[in-house]
Amino acid sequence: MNCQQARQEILAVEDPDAPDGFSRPLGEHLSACPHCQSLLGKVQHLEIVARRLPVPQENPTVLTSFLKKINANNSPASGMAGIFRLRSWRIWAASAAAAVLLVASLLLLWTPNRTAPEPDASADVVCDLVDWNLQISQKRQLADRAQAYQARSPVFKDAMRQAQLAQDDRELADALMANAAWMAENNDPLDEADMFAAIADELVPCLDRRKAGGGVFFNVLAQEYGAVVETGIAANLDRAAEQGPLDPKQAQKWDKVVQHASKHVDRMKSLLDHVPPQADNGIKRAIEAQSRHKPGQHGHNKHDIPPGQLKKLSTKPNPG
Amino acid sequence: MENHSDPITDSGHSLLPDRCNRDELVCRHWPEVYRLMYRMTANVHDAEELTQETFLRALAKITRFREGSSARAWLLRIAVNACLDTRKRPGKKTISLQQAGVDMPAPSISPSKALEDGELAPLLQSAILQLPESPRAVFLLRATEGMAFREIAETIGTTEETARWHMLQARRFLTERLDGKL
Repeated sequence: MNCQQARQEILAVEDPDAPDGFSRPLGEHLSACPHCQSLLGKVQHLEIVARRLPVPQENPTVLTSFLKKINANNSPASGMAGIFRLRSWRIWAASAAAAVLLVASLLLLWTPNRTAPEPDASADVVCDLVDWNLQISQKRQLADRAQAYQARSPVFKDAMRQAQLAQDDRELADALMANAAWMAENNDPLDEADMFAAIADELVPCLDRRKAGGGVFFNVLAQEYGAVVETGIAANLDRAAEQGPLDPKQAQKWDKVVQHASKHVDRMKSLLDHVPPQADNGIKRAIEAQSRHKPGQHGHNKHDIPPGQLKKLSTKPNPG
Repeated sequence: MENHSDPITDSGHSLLPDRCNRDELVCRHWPEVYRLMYRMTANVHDAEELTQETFLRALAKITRFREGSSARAWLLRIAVNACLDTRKRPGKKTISLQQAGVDMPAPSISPSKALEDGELAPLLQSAILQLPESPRAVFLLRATEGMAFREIAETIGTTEETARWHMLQARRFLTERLDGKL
């Protein structure tokens, strides 16, 4: 090994303080070359200084305010979309603004002929319900599912009663409540994938309605849409495949879901033009996840079953 | 690397973002996310804003957290991505050394004296800020967070070899930049 090769290896070594991890030629070279020993010493020194770089103590108010804010928004009717970031020097201003908003909201509630509800105010309810559905779907034991359902369903029901939801949001929220109830008592990945495909269908008009305005609610809904496809559909198809060979009826259902979900892949590709980069990541991941599944390729099953016929999705399995 | 038990993986109620778990997750990992963001930006306000951004993103997609994986690595990945996204936004310029509050000390200080006096630190901080984003993230994740190249690759969404290559670039730049002072 010459010095140039040794320098390359020294600069790329994972831990410069662990000679055991060096290659044998590098070890031999180092024992005989003071120049390369010097470079190794510099790299070691560099990282010691880097570890000691001073970091100013963060302002504890920022963390406290952040926690207060997320917990104030902890009701299911208010998802992360409703949280705004607070620069430390803006905290007092944000608090003042919140107080003004609160007063304004109270005044609005007392106005007899108040204006029509702001439709985007319901987006966070939908997002929370989608997240809750996905959480339940990730539970493997029925007891855990039931617990997750019972823990939050009363709060969600209450929040839905109080929220002024736009019509399509209301329909979607009702569907999500029904799905959560079903998942609390059932655990069939193919049925769940089918169910989430229906949810993805119902998210489409919500997205379309908000596309023109853009903004945070559109972006958050776009990410939820990606999560439904990735976690709700693709992950459940994976789970079904992991459970072993599918019987012919299950294989038909698989094909039906995969064909249905392929529509959503096209839909998500078109969304990529409208969403900012932070939303892109989730959607791209969902496209990749969904693209793994093809009709007729059922993981462990090699039966050649023709794809099932697509139905308009209202295929939520009956509870029980 | 520190071995934390994670509230979202070890509680037995893994993915439920109830208040208790959520607060614990935020409080436990807030300092390390803030520390990394400060080292990436050398600006307290940017670091605080990016830390909040990181936890907002994390809590919004907590259902996508994979059970059994490290919450710390997951959060640092979100943090690095938040940092990179912010830099890509139109109108967001890379901060200058003056904006970063990094003062360049006089260069005529002996290496040992520089280290003793902590004078080498601002020199290194300013040199780190001149690194491109990816080598900077790799260098900091390895040198200050103690992550292995495999974990870094996962964190920044690249291969282990590419992470290693970024590290080589970073160390080469930094040793050349601080030549005579290390």
